[in-house]
Amino acid sequence: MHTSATNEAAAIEMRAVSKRYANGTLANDGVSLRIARGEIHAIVGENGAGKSTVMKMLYGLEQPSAGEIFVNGVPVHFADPREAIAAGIGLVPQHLELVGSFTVAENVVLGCEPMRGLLVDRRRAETEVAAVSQRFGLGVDPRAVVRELSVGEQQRVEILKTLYRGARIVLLDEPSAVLTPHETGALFMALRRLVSAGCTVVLITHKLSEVRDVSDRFTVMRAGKVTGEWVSLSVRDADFAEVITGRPVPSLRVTRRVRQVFGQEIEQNKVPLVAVRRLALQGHDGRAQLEALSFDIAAGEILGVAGVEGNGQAPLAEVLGGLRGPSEGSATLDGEVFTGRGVRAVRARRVASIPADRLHDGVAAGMTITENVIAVDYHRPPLSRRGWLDVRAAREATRRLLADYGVVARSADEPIASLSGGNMQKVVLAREVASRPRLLIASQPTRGVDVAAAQFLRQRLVDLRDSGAAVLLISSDLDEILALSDRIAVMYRGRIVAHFPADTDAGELGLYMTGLRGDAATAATLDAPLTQVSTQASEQAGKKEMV
Amino acid sequence: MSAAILDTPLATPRAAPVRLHTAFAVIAALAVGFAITALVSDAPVRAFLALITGALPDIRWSDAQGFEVRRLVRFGSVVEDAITLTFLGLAIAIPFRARQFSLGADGQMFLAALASAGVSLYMPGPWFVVLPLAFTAAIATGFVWGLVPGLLKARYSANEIVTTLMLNVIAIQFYRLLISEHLRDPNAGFLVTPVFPSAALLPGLMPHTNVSAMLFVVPFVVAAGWAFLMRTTLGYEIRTVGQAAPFARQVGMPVTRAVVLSMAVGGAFAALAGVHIGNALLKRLPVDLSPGLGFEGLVVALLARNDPKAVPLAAFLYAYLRTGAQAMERTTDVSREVVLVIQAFIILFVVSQRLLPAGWPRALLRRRGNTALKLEQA
Amino acid sequence: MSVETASLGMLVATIVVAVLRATTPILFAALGGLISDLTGSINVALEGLMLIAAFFGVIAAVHATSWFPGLPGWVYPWIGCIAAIAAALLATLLLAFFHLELGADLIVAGIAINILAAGLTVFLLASIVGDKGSTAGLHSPALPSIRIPGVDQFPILDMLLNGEGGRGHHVLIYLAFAAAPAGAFLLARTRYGMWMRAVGENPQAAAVAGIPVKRVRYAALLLSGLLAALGGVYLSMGYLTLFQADMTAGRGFLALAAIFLGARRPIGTLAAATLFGASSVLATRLGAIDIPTQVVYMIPPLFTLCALAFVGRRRGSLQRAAPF
Repeated sequence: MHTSATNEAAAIEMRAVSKRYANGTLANDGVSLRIARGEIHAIVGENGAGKSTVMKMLYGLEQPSAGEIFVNGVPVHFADPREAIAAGIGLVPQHLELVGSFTVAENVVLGCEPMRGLLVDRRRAETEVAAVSQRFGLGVDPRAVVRELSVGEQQRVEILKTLYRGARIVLLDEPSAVLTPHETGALFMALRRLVSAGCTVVLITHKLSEVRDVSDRFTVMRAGKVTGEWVSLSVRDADFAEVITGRPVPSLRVTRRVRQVFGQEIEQNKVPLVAVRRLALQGHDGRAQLEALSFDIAAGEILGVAGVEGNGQAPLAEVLGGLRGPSEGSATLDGEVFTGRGVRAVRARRVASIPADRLHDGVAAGMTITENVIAVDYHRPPLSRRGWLDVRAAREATRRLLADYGVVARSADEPIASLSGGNMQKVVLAREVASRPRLLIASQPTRGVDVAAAQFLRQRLVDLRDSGAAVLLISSDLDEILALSDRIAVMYRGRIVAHFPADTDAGELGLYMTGLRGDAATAATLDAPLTQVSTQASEQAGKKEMV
Repeated sequence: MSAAILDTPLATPRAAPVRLHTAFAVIAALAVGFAITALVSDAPVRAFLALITGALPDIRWSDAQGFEVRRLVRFGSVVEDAITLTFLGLAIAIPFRARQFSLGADGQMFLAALASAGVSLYMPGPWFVVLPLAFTAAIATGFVWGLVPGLLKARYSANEIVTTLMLNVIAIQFYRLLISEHLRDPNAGFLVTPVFPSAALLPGLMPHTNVSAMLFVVPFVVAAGWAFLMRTTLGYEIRTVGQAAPFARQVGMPVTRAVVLSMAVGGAFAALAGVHIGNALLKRLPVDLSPGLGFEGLVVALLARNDPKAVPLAAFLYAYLRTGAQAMERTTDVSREVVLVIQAFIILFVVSQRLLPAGWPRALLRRRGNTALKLEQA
Repeated sequence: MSVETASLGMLVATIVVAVLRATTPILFAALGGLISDLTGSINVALEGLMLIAAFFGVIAAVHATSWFPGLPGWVYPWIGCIAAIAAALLATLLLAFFHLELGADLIVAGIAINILAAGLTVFLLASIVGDKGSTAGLHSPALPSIRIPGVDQFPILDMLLNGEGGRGHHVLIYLAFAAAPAGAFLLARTRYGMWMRAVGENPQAAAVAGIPVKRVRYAALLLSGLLAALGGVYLSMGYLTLFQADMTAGRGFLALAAIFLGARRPIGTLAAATLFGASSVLATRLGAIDIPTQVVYMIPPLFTLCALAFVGRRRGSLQRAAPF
């Protein structure tokens, strides 16, 4: 039984809210949380923990299957975002929704423009927007053209949009996902000003730095449930990391063959097969996507790149795969440079690549299995001669591949979209491995893949390694990295920030993955020193989950 | 051009629902045509019947003379048109498989016809010298003229719809210029080339019609079109680029080259239509040869879902309706342009995605493929 | 002034007047196309819509005398104009419906409308008038011209302001050139104009802001149909007062090219349309000199291609640009 005093103090309260989707997924299971007025509250969890669903229900994009939601003590049922907005809730989306050629003021008032007769009252819009910006300390020039603003400023325009419509509870979806560290700092200051001007801020995030640096309290969610609620200041750094890594899921231990001859040779020779030196990439917007990356991969070695997605892994894979050229630096295989020459050149050097987005880049979703399998080598015998495809050879090769990889399909001419995610990925792997690459870049190789297939794929990666190839494993699945890698590099904000041997503690990795342990650039070359494991973490290494 | 997402599904190999959709579209379009006819005609049913059956040859049996086939001439013109439209349909379908909206078939056809006329008129020798040369000249011309919008697209990102339309104008004006000034027949009463020497003409097959040996060429050309798309590495690249451009890039396919060549090869097919018109149908080239057949090729390609194997059938259906319309005009008070109205509605119905309610494996074909189709981004 | 400068001035004035006349239909269509393009719906059916308007304008104006007898004479051409606009709007509605409701590709559907227009106009022409070529046999009226008085003393000025014969410029010429700044104003300053631009640039942002995206797209297409209709009306009820089969002769496509050339802005489109108008006037003039007309007709498209190439070179080649 809550006293009315306690009720009124809460900006948002959810009591035993559950959400079951039409397809049966239980996204939220009895979620209860309380966000006090005037605080900055973070809802934390990994991808799939259920926090996005909470956000959608608070904003009226989804409706709860059970439980109640209270806003400022009043029970609410939002049928759509308009009702949420009317109740004073605003959402700043992760992917900005602004019209680039319009000014800030025009963007903010879009949809509810102040009118003077039949015309839009531009001046009033600008004054009103300036006033709101002033009041909440956002510091945005209403006359600036949005396209010319930095991402951080654009995000503040999004915040302005919500405030202009009367929001006093502002939800932010993964706000620092698109920001540089500097911009993130500016955002946090802006959020504090918001709060001191009377707003309540809710951050939906999986980035621990946000939780630690700006939130007053936070709620942790895992697998659709709330696992705890803490006051930020009272939690120590190392414990934060445990939140993201959590209790390890029983990992699929892949039998890693004892590293016999190869291992010893490498220890002695220290000559890398693949050497990347000071690889840098500038994006179209001028921001650095990769900064002075240096790492090696020896023959018969898996180098795992750990990190939260969005910290430069995709650009790295693109550069090494030949899709983009680096702004600086290069990568060599056996001493020969292969970056910056296009995809065909890369493949000619026997570098293969499994892309992270299977449906977009990994397969041609509308074509048959055979047409997908031959996509890399179709221009060479035996698959074609002088421009003429040998369909029978192609089908044969495909059938063999399907058999080898345990993919059951009615025929090689089935559309590839009829395969499950796991089987599709097997086809992708098979295709890449068929060319006997010396370097395989595997990005998120088991994402969206069922357990059995994932196991199979991982074993194949290990087999490839054991045959003397170099494997670059880029994965946001820490268990996978830990199970497969011989060495681990941690990427954060486009740099390598740590270099660990296999079997490093997950907590330690987590600290670097989230930038909590600092983000100085390190090299992961064969002769580079290994990052020191902090004593604090080693103390915590054996600790159980906090109460 | 602002984001024009081409939602038209490409060739759908084995989806029976798609054929159902196409059939439904044709029937719906005919229904609309009938409705319009009913508005202006006194005897719409008779008129429409004439449309549907007018192109058929008349087979009768009488005791005196046994089987008699009449109105073969009319049927002949169906075959003639079908041949031309088959070539034009292929000319549009092939670039379309690479998601290129090349509307340049008219210009390519005109220039190719011109090239063929040049060879036909000025090259001495027997038919086995002149004809192959004429074909080669035409195909080369069509190929090169098709290359131009491709290169403009590759180098300057110039949208192919506008460029091919502009190039059509240029080509047609050039055609007219050449015929008026250099190739004209001084003895004719109007602006036209001299009649081609017989060495340059394709032998006729049906008396009183212009159906020629080109008919025998058609199956080979269609097979060539199919083989090009399905059995060559370039064809495979074209199809993959059209279906999944990011994937094509990921595996290292030469995307730009495929796009450029798809348009050039389309031009080569359009060239055959030009040869057909000049060396088989008209046996000379008039200055006022009307443009617009290229758009009919578009309808044929759409009906055939850009599948070469289906193009001849679609072309035949189309030509059949066209000739039927002419018959209708002769025997009733309805003019043949109503078939253009039917054409338009066939197009509209065929490319409508949401015509019939759910239950199709569309998701299979369009999943994620559309993100690659957005033209232009900053 | 001297005789030479006087006659030169007269020549220039005559040409200017001719350019104004030639530009008007292209300008109307281009403005319509621009509005719908900025809203994210490229309208390639401008050609067909102009044709439909041209046809129905004449037919309605002529038959109005029997439908509504007894009205003062100047009303009938306006009835024709209204009918023309209505017919074109119906065709535009067809286009919009198939695209927005049934999911047809906009470009393909636009081409279909062009074919429909070509067929329908000739078909009805034959049924109603009995002649497939034109309505020359009919006596169809023209919309009025506006005469500016008081400049008879200055022949060059009179020519400029009142055209040949001092009858005044056609009302639609004035409307066309006024429509350009009006359109710019509409897009920049009115709420609906903002909504249209937002929908064209970022439909997701517009939807989130509560703008009815589909409705805005309908409105943009219909507006483009309206403007194209005016262009068509000018063709058949302006300088010429008849309808001919295929009267538009590609002006609808030139309008599209004008939009690109004009960098998708109202002023640029105005300039580009004028350029195209000028080149067609040039064609007739050069025809008098020895340059063959065909070469002259090649000039506008060649120019367009060069301009597109120039614009494209600055944006970077296909390799570097995002996927098409």
